[in-house]
Amino acid sequence: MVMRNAAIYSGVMHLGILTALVLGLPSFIEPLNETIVPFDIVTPEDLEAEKAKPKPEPPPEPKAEEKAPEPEPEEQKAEVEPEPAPPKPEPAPAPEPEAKPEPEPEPVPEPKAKVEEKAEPLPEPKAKPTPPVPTRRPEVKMAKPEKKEKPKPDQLTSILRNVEKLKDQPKPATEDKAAKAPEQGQARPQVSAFEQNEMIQAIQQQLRACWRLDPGAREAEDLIVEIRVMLNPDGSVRQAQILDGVRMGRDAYFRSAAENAKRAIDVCSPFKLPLRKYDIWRELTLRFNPREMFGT
Amino acid sequence: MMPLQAARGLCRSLFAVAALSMVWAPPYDARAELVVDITRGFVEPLPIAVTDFQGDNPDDARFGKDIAGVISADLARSGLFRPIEKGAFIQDAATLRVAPRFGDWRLINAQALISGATQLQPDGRLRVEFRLWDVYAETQITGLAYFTTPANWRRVAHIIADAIYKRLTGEDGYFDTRIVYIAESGPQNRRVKRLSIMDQDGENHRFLTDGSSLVLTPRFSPSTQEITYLSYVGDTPRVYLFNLNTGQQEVLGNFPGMTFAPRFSPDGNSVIMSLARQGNSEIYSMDLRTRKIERLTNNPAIDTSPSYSPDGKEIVFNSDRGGAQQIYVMSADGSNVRRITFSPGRYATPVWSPRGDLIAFTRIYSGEFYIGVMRPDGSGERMLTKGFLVEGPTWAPNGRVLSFYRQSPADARGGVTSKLYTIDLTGFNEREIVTPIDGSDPAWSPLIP
Repeated sequence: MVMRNAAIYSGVMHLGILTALVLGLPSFIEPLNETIVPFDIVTPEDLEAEKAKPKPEPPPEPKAEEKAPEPEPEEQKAEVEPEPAPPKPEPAPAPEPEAKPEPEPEPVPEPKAKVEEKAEPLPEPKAKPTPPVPTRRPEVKMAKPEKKEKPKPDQLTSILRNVEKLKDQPKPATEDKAAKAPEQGQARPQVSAFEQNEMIQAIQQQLRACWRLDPGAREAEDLIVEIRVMLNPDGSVRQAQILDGVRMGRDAYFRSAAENAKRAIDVCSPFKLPLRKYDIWRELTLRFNPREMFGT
Repeated sequence: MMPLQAARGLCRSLFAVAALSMVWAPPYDARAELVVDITRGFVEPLPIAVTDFQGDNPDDARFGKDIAGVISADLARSGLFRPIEKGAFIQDAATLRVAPRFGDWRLINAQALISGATQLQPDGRLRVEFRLWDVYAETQITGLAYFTTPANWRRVAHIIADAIYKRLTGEDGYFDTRIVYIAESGPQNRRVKRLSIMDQDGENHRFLTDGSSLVLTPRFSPSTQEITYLSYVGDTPRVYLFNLNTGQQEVLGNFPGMTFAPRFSPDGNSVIMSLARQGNSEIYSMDLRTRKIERLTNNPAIDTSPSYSPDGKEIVFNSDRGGAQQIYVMSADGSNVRRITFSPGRYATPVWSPRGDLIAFTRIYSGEFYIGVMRPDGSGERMLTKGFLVEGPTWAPNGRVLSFYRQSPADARGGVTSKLYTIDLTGFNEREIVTPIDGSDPAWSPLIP
């Protein structure tokens, strides 16, 4: 570490002297033009390690050991992290998904299912007691009838403002895409289009309150992000993977849009979806497409 | 025979099924995949926690607090972030230095967290470091350290705010920039106009000229610390060049008529402007090194207010060749002229966004002024703001925010006020830039090198 610091100092000094030699000592009428050279204080390995870190499966570990993302070694030593781990019952591993629901397309809530789900612990994968996330309740009914989502202003017609009301107003978008749902989901045996539709609507509804987007980004209406999501039976996110990794690395606007979409999933987790229909929603491809909000 | 036919038929239908299944094959395993289109979201500033940068002694800590304050103000002013009240923070500074407790930050709904430290070095320099954390992903997404002279703490704060902005929005920041403008004072008929400069947040204000001669329409070079503007030699308006580093001023060219409406080319190597002679005004470009002049338009109408596209290949300008004053685009050599506005009213001062995707302009229509934007092909026209007099749009170097000025109608004693504003290209987040005296004609600098 000492060596590295010395090397950095030496590098900077040399750079400074070189700059002075090349450009001459500056004589500005004000000292504003001092060049400030940033140093990266994260080694790439740190970040890689961080990225590679798999999302924990439902049974959470006590957090204190699990992460010490502090990349500064000196401080890291003093790391013991007196985190008052929230006293929560250690949940049993989530039920094996495969064993789950009989493919019985019965939309009526069954008390049995309810009890079963209540018994399930609240396996917050990361113990996040976030306020915006509605507390998880045994959810057998569709999320649709209960408008529980945080009231967000509907920006649909005002995503881009125009003080001259007459023209170029974004057309109000057609109602929720859900209407098109049947073609979205793939034909699956033993799942009715109606059931699929219900799940799609529930997911759309929940994400609507979590997805923050920036309409002022360059060509924002074309920043369409697909994320493949695997959910745990309790609705929490097991894994979320942005599909166009290449564009992530190449296009900073896309990366930002993709991170916004990913954040929406994190914020919405756990999703409130009926356990009985886990088979339908355990794996999803979420396609975040802002185009409709622009009226294009 | 029959069995063969049957076999063929079977083959054919199998093939058909196979072909069909290829056509219908979903991108992933059909059994386990539900595709959901998310078409609705919301637009709100991102809640962000900017903590005071930590210092080991009161001096260091004071720098840390001031720097965090400037970063927080920059981010808030952009309209894309909402810094959370410090009073709501749960985790204390001492433990944050070890590692963030992300749960605590999620509890107050912070989606990003900024921590940092400041330390005066034995050699008198100030070391400033910061870390940007993604609270939900529980990772550090950027961390940088800087050395600078302590007097420069404000710039370091802007540079850090730019780094945060860039990492979270995907576009370059614009906080480490300055704005030149015309500071105005005195009564309407004897208005004193002085070229002035300040940081983008209104700090470090100073006057560049003494007000003895009239100064108008300053424009920043996109690549150097130079300004071009209009001033008067006797009664004749002339385009000037002002070097901010040396304080030197010079007249640009020696033309028979009057020159006005100058702007730099994107590489800063030439200036494009209008030259008026015998009632006709045409657009010229001048190479600043060779001083070679090239005429780009040739039309009996008035052609003025030229502005280059960021790639330097095209020029947007005003002309009344079609009757009313409208906006036109042409190639940089003057060819391929086409009109892009067709709405009623007059259009003025078009300016191409450094991002390339939009052109901002002033529009005068039925007694009101508007600042608007449109795509370079004239589509997607939107009016961002309006008023009795709003004029002179200028882009922040990242092409996200515009500055302009707004003048009030004369009051009972004939006095007017003129103030500078910024507005996001979405049309939201209009804010005043507070200046010591009245101001007009702002011009945004590039990021300070």
